[in-house]
Amino acid sequence: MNKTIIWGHRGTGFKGIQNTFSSFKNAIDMGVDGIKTETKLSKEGEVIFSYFNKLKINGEDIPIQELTIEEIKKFKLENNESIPTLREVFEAFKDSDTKYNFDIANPKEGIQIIKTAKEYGLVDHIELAKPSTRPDSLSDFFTEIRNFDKNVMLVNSVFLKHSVIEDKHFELEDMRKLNINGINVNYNYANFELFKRIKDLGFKFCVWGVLFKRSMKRFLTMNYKGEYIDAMMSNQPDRLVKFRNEFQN
Amino acid sequence: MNLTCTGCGNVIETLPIQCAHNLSKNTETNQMECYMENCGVISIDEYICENCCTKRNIMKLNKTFERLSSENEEFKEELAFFDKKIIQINTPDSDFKFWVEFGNGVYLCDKGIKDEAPITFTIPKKSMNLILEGKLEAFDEFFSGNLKIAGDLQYGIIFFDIVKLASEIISETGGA
Repeated sequence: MNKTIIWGHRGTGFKGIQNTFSSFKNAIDMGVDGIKTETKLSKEGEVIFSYFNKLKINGEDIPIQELTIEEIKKFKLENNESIPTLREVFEAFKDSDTKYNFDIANPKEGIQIIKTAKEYGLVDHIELAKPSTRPDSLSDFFTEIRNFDKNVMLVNSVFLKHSVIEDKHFELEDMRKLNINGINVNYNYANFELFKRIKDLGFKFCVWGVLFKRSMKRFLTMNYKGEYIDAMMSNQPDRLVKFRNEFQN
Repeated sequence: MNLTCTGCGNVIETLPIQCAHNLSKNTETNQMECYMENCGVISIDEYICENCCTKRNIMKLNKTFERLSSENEEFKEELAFFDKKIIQINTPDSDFKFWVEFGNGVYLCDKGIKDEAPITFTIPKKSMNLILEGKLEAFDEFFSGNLKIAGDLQYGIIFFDIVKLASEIISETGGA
């Protein structure tokens, strides 16, 4: 039976400074299968890890896309580390089988991630997701990326505004046309019926934001036709790994 | 009959519909009383307007969560997984302000302003009340622009997860 893939949010989630090299390393040491996070592009188009669009430099908020890699690397995070680049992270963990799920801001960013992953032979280790805060249609968001790469894994995070999730919110026609592999929903809106529906439609079912022991247990023990939920993301990945080892044997 | 709110002192010009239907005399106290939904049965002498009732209910719910954090092991344990976070909650439709601190195993709240709060919510008090009661989704309010979050959004969202957990525990255990 499959085991649920566990994503550490921005590394170790709430433990340590997110989107840092040490947080990624600690998450991998904890036993997560991968890192789910956000990236941005530098002025030269290099992929870096950051949730924020701007960096405060000398008291001024400067958009990351206007900064060169050299300028970005000079910026120190709270723990005095520099912002890691995608290349640095791919290089460091290339032998660890670590997976990556990126909430991308636009197709250009997605394509740049694919290009970098290709250089490291890691395209089969990456997933690109439409963030749940984006109201864009799947077609607008993913067509360019799918045209660029036929095989990269794409994930549709259902727009957060749909607290009651119905088939129409999946954009099924585009999901199939663009060969989108999975559907990602916030744990507050996930339930067994939705899991069943999405699996019956032939997609991977992923749950994000899982907190608290009771919800971790509920989702880790959910089973349909001999399959567990495909992936879960948490800001407490250490707990999730521990409970997966306990509940999925 | 002129009714004055004992909370804010304003004249009460309109009554919630349930009040008009539920006004009765308490034979023990000889006082007129009214059922005021979230605020329970209130004597005419202590009558408060809908505005004050909402504020009172918000604080009552928060105080229930605060008590739960000291009485319920599960809630306490879950709160221990977070570092201390403070959220300042301001209501644009009145001067009502309160703050909530969660993490390190506790949930604390009080009226007023907490200067060092790194996260601020601005939300109409009626919406806040309905979210705390589990009758409104915070995400819906966020996307409709009724809820504005300044500061780290992910901790802002987690506050609502904590509220949901507390409500779930309360409905299962009856409070502790």
